[in-house]
Amino acid sequence: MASSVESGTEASIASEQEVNNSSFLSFHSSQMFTDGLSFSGFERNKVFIGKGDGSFSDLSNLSGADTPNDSRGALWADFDDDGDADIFVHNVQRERHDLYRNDIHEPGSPAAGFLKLRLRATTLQYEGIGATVTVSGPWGKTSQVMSRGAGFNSCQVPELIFGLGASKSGRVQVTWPGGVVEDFGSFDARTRWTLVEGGEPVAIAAQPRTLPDPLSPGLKVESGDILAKMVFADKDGNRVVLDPAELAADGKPIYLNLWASYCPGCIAELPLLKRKAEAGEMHVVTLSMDRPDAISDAEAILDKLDAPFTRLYITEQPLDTSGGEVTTEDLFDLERLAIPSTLVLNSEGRIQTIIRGPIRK
Amino acid sequence: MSNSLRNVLLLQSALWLFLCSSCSKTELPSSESAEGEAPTSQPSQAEEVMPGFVLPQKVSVEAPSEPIVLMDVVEDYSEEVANRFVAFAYELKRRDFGAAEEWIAEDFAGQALFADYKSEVTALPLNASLETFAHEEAPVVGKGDWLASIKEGLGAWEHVDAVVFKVKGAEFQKGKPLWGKVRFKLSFLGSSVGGGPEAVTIWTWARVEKRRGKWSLTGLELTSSQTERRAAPLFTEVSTSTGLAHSGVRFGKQGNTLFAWQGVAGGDVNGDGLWDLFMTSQTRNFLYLAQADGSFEESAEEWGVRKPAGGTSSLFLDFDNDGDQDLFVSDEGWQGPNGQTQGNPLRLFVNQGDKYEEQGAKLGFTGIMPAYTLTALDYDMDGFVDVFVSNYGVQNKENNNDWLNATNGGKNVLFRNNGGKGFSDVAPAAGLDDGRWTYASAAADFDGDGDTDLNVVNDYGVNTLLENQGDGTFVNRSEEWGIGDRGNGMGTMWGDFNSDGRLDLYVANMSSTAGNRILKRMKSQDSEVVKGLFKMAAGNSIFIQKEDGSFEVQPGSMGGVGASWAWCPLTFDMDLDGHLDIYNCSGYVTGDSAEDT
Repeated sequence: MASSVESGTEASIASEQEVNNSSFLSFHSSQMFTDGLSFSGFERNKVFIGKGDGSFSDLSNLSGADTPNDSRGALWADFDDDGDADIFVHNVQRERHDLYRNDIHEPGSPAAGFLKLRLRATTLQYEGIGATVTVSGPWGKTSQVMSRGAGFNSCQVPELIFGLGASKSGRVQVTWPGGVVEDFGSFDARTRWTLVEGGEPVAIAAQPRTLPDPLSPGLKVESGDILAKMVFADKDGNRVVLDPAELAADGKPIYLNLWASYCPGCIAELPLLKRKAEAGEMHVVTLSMDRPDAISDAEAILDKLDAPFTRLYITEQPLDTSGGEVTTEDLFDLERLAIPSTLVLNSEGRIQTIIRGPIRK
Repeated sequence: MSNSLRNVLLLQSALWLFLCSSCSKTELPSSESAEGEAPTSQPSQAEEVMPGFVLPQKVSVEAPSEPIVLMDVVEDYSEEVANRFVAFAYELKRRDFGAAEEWIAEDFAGQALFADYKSEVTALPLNASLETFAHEEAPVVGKGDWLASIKEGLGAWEHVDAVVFKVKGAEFQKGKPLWGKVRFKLSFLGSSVGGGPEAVTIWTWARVEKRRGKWSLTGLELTSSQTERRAAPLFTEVSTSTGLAHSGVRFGKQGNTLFAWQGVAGGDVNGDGLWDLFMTSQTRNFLYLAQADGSFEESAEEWGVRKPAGGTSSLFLDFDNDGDQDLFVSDEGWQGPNGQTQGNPLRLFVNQGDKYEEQGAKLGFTGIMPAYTLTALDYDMDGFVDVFVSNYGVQNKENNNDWLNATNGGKNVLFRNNGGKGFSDVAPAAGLDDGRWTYASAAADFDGDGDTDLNVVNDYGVNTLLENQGDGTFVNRSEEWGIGDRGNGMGTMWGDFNSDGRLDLYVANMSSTAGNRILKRMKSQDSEVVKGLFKMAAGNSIFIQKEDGSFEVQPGSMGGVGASWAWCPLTFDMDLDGHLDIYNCSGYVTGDSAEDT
């Protein structure tokens, strides 16, 4: 399995003694937490886009960084050195460490000019903590503080990122700790510098790297993984074993298609899969996400289609498994699963490709 | 905490006491005390499916002609409705449209939530769009078609991330049947096929009626409907693929009573030019060293910082000016009932080049205190950076002594850096030993006079903007500068939000839907106490620095401040357009149950 989530349980390590010694909670609070109740729960983190006049647009819902987890600390830093700031968030439970890669602009996009600045003070302590850096250009002049320790329980990295928009350069001024104001002149967009108090700026070499893409939403497996035997259910909830070696003994690929009767995009691709299955190009296995009382809807659609598909369903009841068999829970996070999605397997059960969205040809 | 949960519960209790005492004394005749609960011989006309039910052409949810006015009864019903529809929203999120039928009355008549009718599309920043529907033209349908419209709308999505029904207000009719007019805000978040995020927000008036002990939806009128879209999300979560993912025990599972509010510190631990991360947790700490391939390697054990576990804030800072990043950790500590020490002292891990060594006690960065945010500043300009410790209150010993300006918290501490050789607390001499319930602080030379000033935010209190006098002392000039913000202050950060070159200030407070709902029902809206409570529940604040150096709070209508129960704010230019943006952590406690207490 590709998932590398550490599922180590903090509580299992903690002794009861530690609980008693460390808990600040009153009886009622403890009870509330242990009972799993919510208090201002499921509130989502916010993303406000500044317009430059002090007003903001709320794009939280479209941000991909609006986790409903209970977040406390956070910082921004350019972890892939592509010029824009990514966000790290520390939550108090469940998925605790969230890193959000900034994908607002394509790397190198003309509208995404940046200037990355670090400081080296000489009058006072060299890190320049507390300095104010101002960068001016067609957008006005914007100031940021070299801050270590702010927000809530969080410490920012000692680097400031200024957006230059489509401008080719920005003019930089630093008010150093101690009060010396120094004008460093103009710097080209997409450059990285250490500004030395009273000295020449030093260019910083770029160290671009890739923050790898996540798995497809809701999938706990990725291309290359082997799914030797999978356990699902038939329309009546009975255990069915999907064995790629058996189904694809002829060497044709298996298209494991994740769909639902309520999903028009899913239904739209079924005729194409039918044609390919009937032409002997592939084996099609439909795995429906329909809830039990909608399985009849799914069956009706497949009956009408009359295609040579293997029809499978998920079930909320646990199914017996023996060694080497994987179940829905091992493969999918149903809360997040994107449909339609299709896993293309070979006879070994190895995932060749994952197709997110409708199959077009 | 220390979690402020207990205090919040008490705040709620206090609010109730205040509300109930005011309403029972001044607003209600005693005969109304059992309203809404009085038995009646009249059967509900809508108890059974109405065979002769005819769908009206228009729906206008009527207001109760004789509304219940006893506020705690109204709030109890409001909460019942809110919790009942949490479960409904969950079925919709699961796209179990069959199960969702239970919530809708057979004689329901209401406007479809998802339908094809007149709309207008406008542009949002960053190539996002907003489709605003002519809500009055949404077709009126019965139960089956109403659910079918939701099935059609949500079924077309690749994935449904969240469905939320929030009760923003409610009125209930006296007597039987028990029914009410409810202000619902409905949110549907998810992604269309291909992964583009979609967000549908619909404001409604709903008619709900309690039938056979359960609240059912009997009518629905739209007052606005809009959909936000973008081709792709602004950010992509890459925690697992970069090796940062860590799963903690969720609330509601055995064992998770151990928690404190932990932050994160970023810095270059090993001098390779890449940003590493350190954070504490209940049972161990994490040190993620950034690798050249974009991944992170957890190295807390090798660097000697895996234990002692626990802690709240952490801070990277080169206190001895030897060129590497040392690590400061704050923690909660307090004296137990018999004088024994509980919790943990502060800690200072000195960077030895390839590992850390804890030397807090030896270097004087120690002490038992309810410590939260650590802030670095060279307050005395001696070239060695000092550390300010935000101290909260010790709730298991003593509750906050005031809701609007609590002063019995742990006294804040300023650790003076004695030439890189050690630390000593100089807060009393510096005028910083304030006993308010402080969660966070942020340092900057906001007045440009060369020394570093400090903004301190307090729970149950007001902001404190402290001007560095340049002689080792600070003076509170909050009122003079217009910064005396009342609120449950949780976090703060400096920024320049109008790109005029002057530093502005962001303060994260908590806000509460339930709190605002309750407060809006109070008749004494002009009283100072109610105004104060409103402000305490109002959310975040942005202070814009004016040309004369003073600040003015920006009206909420300019945006950027509605962040629910807010924690860490970040002020940075995420879209690289030259103007600062804001990210804000939100949410208090999310349990297994979506029902809010």
